[in-house]
Amino acid sequence: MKSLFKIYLTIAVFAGCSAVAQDGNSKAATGGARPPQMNQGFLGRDVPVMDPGSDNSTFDGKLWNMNNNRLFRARFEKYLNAPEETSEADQQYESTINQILTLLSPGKVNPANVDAAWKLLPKASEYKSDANLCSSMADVVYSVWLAKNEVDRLEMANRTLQKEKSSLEWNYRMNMGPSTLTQPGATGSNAPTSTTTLSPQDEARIEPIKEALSDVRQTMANNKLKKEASIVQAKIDFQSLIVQYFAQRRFRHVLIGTRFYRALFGDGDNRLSALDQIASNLPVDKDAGQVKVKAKLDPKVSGRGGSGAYAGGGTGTNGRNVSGGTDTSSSGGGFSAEGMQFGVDNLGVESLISAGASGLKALGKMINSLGQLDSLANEAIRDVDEGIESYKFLLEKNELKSATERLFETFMMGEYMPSVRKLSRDDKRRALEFTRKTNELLAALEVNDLTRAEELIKELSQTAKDFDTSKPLAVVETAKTVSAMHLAKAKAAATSGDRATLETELRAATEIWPRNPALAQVSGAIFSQTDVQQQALNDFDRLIAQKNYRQIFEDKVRFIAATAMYPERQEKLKTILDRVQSAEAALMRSTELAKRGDPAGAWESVERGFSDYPDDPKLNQARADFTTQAAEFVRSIRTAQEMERKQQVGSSLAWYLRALQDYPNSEIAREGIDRISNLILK
Amino acid sequence: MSRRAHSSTPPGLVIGLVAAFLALAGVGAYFFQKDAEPYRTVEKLRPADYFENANSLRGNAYQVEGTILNSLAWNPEKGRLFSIRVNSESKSWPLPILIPATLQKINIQKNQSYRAKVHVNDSGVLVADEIQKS
Repeated sequence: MKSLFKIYLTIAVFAGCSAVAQDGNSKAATGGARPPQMNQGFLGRDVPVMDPGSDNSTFDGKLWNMNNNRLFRARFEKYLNAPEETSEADQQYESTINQILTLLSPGKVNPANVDAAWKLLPKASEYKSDANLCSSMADVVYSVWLAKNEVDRLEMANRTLQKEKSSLEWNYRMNMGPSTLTQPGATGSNAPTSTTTLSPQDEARIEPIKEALSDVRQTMANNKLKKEASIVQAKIDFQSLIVQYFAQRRFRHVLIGTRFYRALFGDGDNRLSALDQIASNLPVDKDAGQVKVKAKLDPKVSGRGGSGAYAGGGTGTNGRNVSGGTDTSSSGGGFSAEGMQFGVDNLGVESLISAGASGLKALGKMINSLGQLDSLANEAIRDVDEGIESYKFLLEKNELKSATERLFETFMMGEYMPSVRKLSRDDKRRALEFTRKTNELLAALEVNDLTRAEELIKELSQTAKDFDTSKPLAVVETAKTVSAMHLAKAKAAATSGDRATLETELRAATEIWPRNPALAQVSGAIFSQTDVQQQALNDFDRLIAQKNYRQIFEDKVRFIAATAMYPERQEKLKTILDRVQSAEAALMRSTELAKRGDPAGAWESVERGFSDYPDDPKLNQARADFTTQAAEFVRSIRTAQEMERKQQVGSSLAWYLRALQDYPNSEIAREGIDRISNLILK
Repeated sequence: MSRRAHSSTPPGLVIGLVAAFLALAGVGAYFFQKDAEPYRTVEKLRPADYFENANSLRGNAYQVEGTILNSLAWNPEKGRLFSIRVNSESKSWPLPILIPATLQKINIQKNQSYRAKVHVNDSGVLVADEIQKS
């Protein structure tokens, strides 16, 4: 029966987190935790998985310690922060309870002691720790006494009625007169049988007596029933209170109750019928049926590459089916499994009540006497005391993990026991700090804050000698490695310009370790690089629109890098660089010629570059300067070109000849002369 | 004092001799001049006009005298294209001149002076009709 109470209250945090790296799968790395955006479907992608060894369950990417829910945790932390109950009032309260138990102990119980114990109940209820439970007990005892008084009164009434009945029966017989014969063989003492026919006058005289006799008989029968019912009701009320105390883990009150019960109902009937009574009072709708949880496992495991799991929905027909499925795969090879079905059939309020009633009945069959409750309470009291002793010992050994687990178990079982309440605050604080850190560690792992988790693991390993760091550290290290792999892939993708892969890998790295310092650094660098590249491309496009090829030429290194991934822009850049290069060469040549006192040659050099890049400001400036210096030659060339354009072949040729005369090295003039000469003689 | 013998030339004879001399000189000058300017009846080309707009001179005939500068091109069927420097208005003007194939027997040497009778063809190019050394 101990198992009934045994609530596994371990604060074990990590057993559910399999540290075995599964093919580099991020799920393995994060202990099954999945990022929220990957959850799909009604129940997410994961089937609830419970690890009884660690009391951890995994569901929908969340790691949940069954003992670590807010209700338990808050209550436990409240207890750990509360001062020890060793005040004078607390001692007086304990003394009073012990006194009551002593008065009601089997060897000493008698009406006087019962009365004395009852009188102590209101006194005990005055203490805060009692929460007025003794007062309730006193009320129930008083109710029993009232019920018993009622029974006495009914018995007294029945005795009076018995006398009245006898009197009425006598009158009846007398009024039957001489004509009334009593058959010797008649059954029943008060059932006269008339064998003669009564006159109407006799009938009128006897009838009221008959009615009165019938009423008396009925009243007596009713009183008898009332007496029985009153006692049964009192018993059930008392038992319900004891069961309630038991459920509240007020074991000493259970003992007080059972001892009062035995003293009050000395009929030896200790059957516990309260559970059956509660179950029968529940509004069970038989047509609604009961809620059922179905789990069907038909595993089909194969050893192909990748890993996966699938969970299909149950096949209930009249209830609600819950289904969840997941099919994951990874590139590292592994196994696949499918065929697990999980479902809830017939989920509803009526079906839940029906299931509760069935449960209570089953429990009533297991615990069917107050003696059982009494022994369970005693066992629980002993277990709690032992738990506290164990805690103190483990605390001395600096084994905080085990100590905290024992204290939590003990607290959940015997929260109101003196040994638990008297534990000093300093002793409790050590467990509190450990609990807080483990909770923090759990939260850190849940949100993949690996840096914080690592710090907490170190702290816990220092404060608690028995804290097993291997599993959480393995989880952290594996997650870090996987995150680093994703980051490396992101870097490679950024280098090759694969934006889709870059985003995917960055997202994966972020999901596994959101606060990874390297993540910020790498993503910053990548995005900064991307920004620089984008800025360069924008500048490139703008300068092309402005025909500012000179600026492009001067920033050519930047633009060469930026356009590396854009073939169209790269081609444009190449053309521009060629043109500006040519213009630049022309400028350099013209500068040299100008230095040698050959302005016509300088102009011609600039003019040649100008045709390649007419918008270059530098070239334009040089062209204007040299035009002034070689005005006649320039005029001849320009006139020749103009005449050529107007198809005045003779004049054009003449002007070219004149230009050549002015500057015999003129290539423009020579080319013009050759061109027109060929035209003339073709 | 004695009177010297007095021998006088008849004035008519002197006048006649002078007139004959002048007539002879005039005839000689005429012939000499005729050899020096064979196209004296043909108008001389004004290079400035040609430079300004050769097309406007198309169909006209001119005489041109200058020094051959360069041979620009040659086509056996169409002839030879030269540049010739013409001095005019105290300037030196390089002009293109096409010596057609019909005049291929005439040797045209660089840096030698020639006088030519030309016409401006449809393209505005000077085409020699006749040419001779000057």
